[in-house]
Formats: sequence, C-alpha cells, structure tokens
Amino acid sequence: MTRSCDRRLLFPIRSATALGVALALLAGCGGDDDNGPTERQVSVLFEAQVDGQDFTCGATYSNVGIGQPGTYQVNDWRFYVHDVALVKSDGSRQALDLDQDGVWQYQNVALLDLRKNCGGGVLPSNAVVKGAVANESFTGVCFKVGVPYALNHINDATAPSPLNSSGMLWNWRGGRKFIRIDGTGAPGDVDRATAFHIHLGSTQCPGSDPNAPPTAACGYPNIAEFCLDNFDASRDHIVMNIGAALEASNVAFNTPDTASGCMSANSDPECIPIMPRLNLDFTYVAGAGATPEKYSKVVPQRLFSVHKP
Amino acid sequence: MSQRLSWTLLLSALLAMAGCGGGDGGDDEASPPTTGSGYSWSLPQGFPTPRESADNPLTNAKIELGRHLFFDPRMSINQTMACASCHQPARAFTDGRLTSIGATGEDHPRNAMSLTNVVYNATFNWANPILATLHAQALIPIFGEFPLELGWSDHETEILDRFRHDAVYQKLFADAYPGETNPFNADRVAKAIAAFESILISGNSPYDKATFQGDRNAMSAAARRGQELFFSERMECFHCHGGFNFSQSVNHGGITLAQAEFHNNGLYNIGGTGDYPLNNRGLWEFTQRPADMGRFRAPTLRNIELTAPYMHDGSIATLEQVLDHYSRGGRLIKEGPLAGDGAKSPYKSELIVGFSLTPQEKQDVIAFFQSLTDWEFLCDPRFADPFGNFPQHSRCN
Repeated sequence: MTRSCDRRLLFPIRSATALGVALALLAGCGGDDDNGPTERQVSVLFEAQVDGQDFTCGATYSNVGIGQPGTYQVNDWRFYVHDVALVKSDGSRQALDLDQDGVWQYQNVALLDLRKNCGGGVLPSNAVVKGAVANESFTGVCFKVGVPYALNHINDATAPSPLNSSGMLWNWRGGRKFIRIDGTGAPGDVDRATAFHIHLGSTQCPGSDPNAPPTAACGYPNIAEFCLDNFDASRDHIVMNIGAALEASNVAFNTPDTASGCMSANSDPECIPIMPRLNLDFTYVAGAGATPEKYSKVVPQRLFSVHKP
Repeated sequence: MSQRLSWTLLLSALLAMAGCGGGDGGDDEASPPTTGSGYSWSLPQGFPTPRESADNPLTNAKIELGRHLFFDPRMSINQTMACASCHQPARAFTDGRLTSIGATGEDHPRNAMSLTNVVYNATFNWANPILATLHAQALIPIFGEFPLELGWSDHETEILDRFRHDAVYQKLFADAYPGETNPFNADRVAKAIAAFESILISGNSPYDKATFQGDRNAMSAAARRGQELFFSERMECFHCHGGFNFSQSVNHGGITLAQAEFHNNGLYNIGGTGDYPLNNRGLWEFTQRPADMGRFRAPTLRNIELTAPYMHDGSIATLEQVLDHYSRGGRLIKEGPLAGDGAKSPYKSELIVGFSLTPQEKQDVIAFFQSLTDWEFLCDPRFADPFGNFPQHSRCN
C-alpha cells in the first residue's frame, strides 16, 4: 500500500515534467536536456538469442542442450522484469523511474516481448525498458525477472496493461508467467518432436481456489535478480540466451504426465536442470512422501549477459 | 474473509491510481461504466469495460433496432432465416448443427459460433485476423455469397425496402439514427445488429458467483474439483482458454496490446502433411504460412454446455468427446480421405500434449464446464426475440 501512495505522488511531478518538455518544444528550444539537469531518460535494450544466434520464430537452432538431435525451435519469447536499476561504480543503485506508458510498463514492472516473425500479421513487440534515472554515471545494471507479489495476483479482467496480457496469464492464484518460452525439441521429426517450454512463475501459492488470489505469499516466489557489470545503457544490449537455460536439458524428451518442458512445478524432473539456470534455487519433490531434493542456482548465471555493439 | 477484504482494498487502490494517472476520465469502475456516447453498460461484477467502436457509438435505440433486425426473418433474401436462425438464444446463440446452412440451403463450412461475450473478442469468426469490429463482421453473413448466408448481394434494395416501408422499423431506424435522411442502408443495419450483439454479456454463472460475487457455494464440489484440473499444468486447458472470458483472444477497454491468438489443436493431419480439409484451413487461408495451417481462435467456454457440437467444423459431438480429444493430444482418423493422426501434426500447438483423467475426474471437469452456464444471461428479457419466433431456453419459462 505504501508503494501505491508513493506512485500517486509521482504522477503530478511527472506530468509537470511532461508539460515542461511540451512548452520547451513549443518555444522552439528543444535541446537534449529535456529532463533537466538532475534526471535523464534511459532505455535499457534487450535482445533474444539462442547460443549466439539471433532469435526468430520458426528458425531451428542446433546443439541446444545435451540430448540428440539437439535441435530446437522457439515460438514465443516474452518475460516480465521489475525493479530495473542502474549501478554506480561504488555499488549503489538508482532505480529507473519507469515511464507509465499505459502499454508495456506499469509502476515498476515492464513486459518484454521479443517475438519476431511469430504468427500471422504483426504482433506487438517490445525490447526496451524506458525510464528516468539520476543524471550520473553508471557502470552496471540490475533487474528482477517476474512480477512483484502485490501485482502478480490481481484480476486479469481489471488489471492495467501489461498485466492483462492474456498470453502471460497463469491463473489468478498462480499469477503471471514471468517467462514464457514456447518451444519444440527435434522439430519436424514426426516421431521425436517434443513440446518443450519454459514457463516460469510462482509456485506453492496457498489457497483452495485457482480463481482467487493466494491466501498468503507463495512458497516459491521464483523471482530472481540479475546484475550485470560493465553495462552502458546508451550503447549496450542485454542478451537473454535461452540456450544457457537449456544447456543441461534434453529438449527432445519430456517425462510423461508432467508439463511440457518446465513450467516451474516442484515435481517436474525437467525443471531440475532448468530452474537453477534461471538463477533460482530449486526444490524437487518427486511425490507424496518423497524427500525434497535441493538444487542450488548455477553461479555465475549465464541467462543474461551484456552485448557490446 | 480478511484476505478477500485486503484484495478488495488493493484493487480499489489500483483503480484509483489508474484514474489518477490517466486523466482521460470516463473509465471509472466505481460508478456504472459508460461509453463515450453515454451508453451505460450493465456489467457483471469483476468484468472489464468493453471497448466501444469509435464509429458505432452505442445507444439504447440502436440496440433495440438491432434486436429487431437480429430476430427478423425478413433479413434474408427469401425471408426464411434471421441471424437468430444460426444463433438461437436457447442454445446460447448457436444452432446445434455440425455446420450451418444458408437461406437458400447452401452448406457453410463452419460451425456457428456462440455470441456469448463477442464484445470481448480480439478477433471475430473462427480464424479471421483482419475483422476489426463487430459491425464489419456482421456484413459477412449479410452479403456472403460463397456460401450464401442471408443473401443480400444484388438484393440489397429489395431487402432494405421491407424495413423502409414498415411503420415499426421507420420509428426504430429514426430513433437509432436521429437526423439521418436515409438510414436504410447496409451499414446502418450492420451497426445496429453489432450494437445488440455487443450487450450479449454473460458473467453471472455459478462460476462467476463463486469467483467474483463472493458466493463460494454457488459451485458444486465436483465443479470446484474440475476447476482445479482445468487450471492445472496437467491438462493445460487455460493456456488457450484462460482469463476472465476463458479465451486468451480478448479485447476490452483496458487492453492496449493486441491479444489475438490462433491455435492448431490437432484435429487433422491429412496424410501426415499437417493439412486440414480444403474448406477449413484456418488462419492459413489468410497468410499461407505453413505454421498457420489449422490455426483457429479459441472460443470462450462460457455457456459451452449448450453449444454442442464443438470445434470449427462441429466434428466433435459432446464435451466428453472433446475431453477425449485433448486427452489423446489430437485426433486419429484411421481411414478415408481425411486419414491422419492429428496428434502428430507438425503444426499442432505445443501446448496440446495429452493427459489422462480418471472417469471421476472427467465428470468433475464436465461439472466445471456446466458451472459456466449462465441462466440469467440465457433468460435475460433484453435478449429475447420481439417477434416470438426464437424462444429462449425452456428452463427460462
């Protein structure tokens, strides 16, 4: 609730800034200091790759994971981030004050939609997080993948964009899919083609009704933070490499009667090699009465990296 | 109770913020939402405000004209069928046929879709990515020639004259389109019908009462167990039939990103090539992209109990068989010209992978589907035939 109040105070300030910019432009004096001396606009750019190759829907990538034939096709690539911050050389952070664009960004959350050539027609896509930050020099970037608890479990029917993106819904209790990668292992091979997705989200969210918010915080929020050094927002991109998440998986095999690939379930064997590569500790429980197995996150993470032009 | 309360508080805070930040007004959820034209929506609790088409502002008079036209057999060339012939109120605005038949007896390749909540559709028809408005859609059955549906093509004046010379319609058109010298044209007909269709909003089923209206006991224990299965990663139903309208293809006033989705659900795989029957190839007919073969829009599941048979071509008769189809992960057609294993189609959605259900679980999922039947909607007098030709469901009497 306190966060909400903070945001309400921000709106008039931001409107005033916008008004100032508009007036400056009208007066014909639009320079490059639109945000004044204390703040500047920053765009943090993301791009999707599979083991060094640019992602496009329908393309078949080779040598993904450890299985044979190791071919993999991806047909969806979306994820939420929040708490995006730039990091100074002394390690202190400045949170990006995200543009409230009514489309891709809401409060401190942004949806990245890196789909390219997916589906008929032109799909909306977004590879950038935009916001204002103190006009200082930074050397790194931090962000969390996912949607914060207070926003993750709100009703899709009345949620603001991008939290009402229907393809990213899990259900009310479970919240949103934080990452949605839909893929197929061994594509084109009639006998071996296997649906193999990565759907990340919170699990063990208590409650008896899938269409009500959870009754308490989720047992496994599955929100990981990523911090990257040597990042210059004015030139560099952040690469998300799904090949790194799948490096220890056989994408042409899925344990029968479990979700295709890994949908974050604590009982899904396919999640054992994947979740730790999403920078998350993972607890695997084979079934009722089984001893939980702990798998620590793989350090250093390789899912996200800085790409220099 | 307390989490229900804090949830309400959180939601109110969010809505208050949306109002605070937007500054464009007119979308305040606290009072009954109205359209830009001043029409006051009657919305079920928890439902989003629909998007009003900019070039078809809603009025009560236009809706009333649309209701008359929708149920009037004079809308067809030979005065044998109305919109309601394929969209009967007793069947949640479907016709019970595998595929529909036009006014002159021509077969339509597709199953009549329910009009439940069409105002929330991201796209219209089974697989048309370019129809942007309900009134653009309405012109298709009006003018369609292949197959012929209502048969207006080349008979436009003749059919419009029926309304132009009818005293009841003279008043209805004048009220709906005040100040217009000649509102008797296809555009105005389509827009009035679209206005009527856009208020066919269903959101008072037992599921809604349990979910949005605080009456947990509105759903049976079996329906609640079925709901748990429906939303499980085991069945994966909700990946395509998710969200408040049980279809991911959704649009409303709060949607700023297009949410059009089309999926191949493994019904056909002719000769192992992935092909669908020639007259029913889905999104592929618009794009000719191989990946779009057999891709159709996932319809809402609201009132699904009453809209059999199922699928774009009506080729599955019952909800039990629909579950069998998804349980197998696609349909095997052993022989004949359509032979092939849909489960192995190269174009099948990656989210349809099969599952197994015990007989009890299957019945629970069916009970959940039945909890989506909305009798207040089906029996709503606002949606009744003014001429008395197309009765509402017998349970409404």
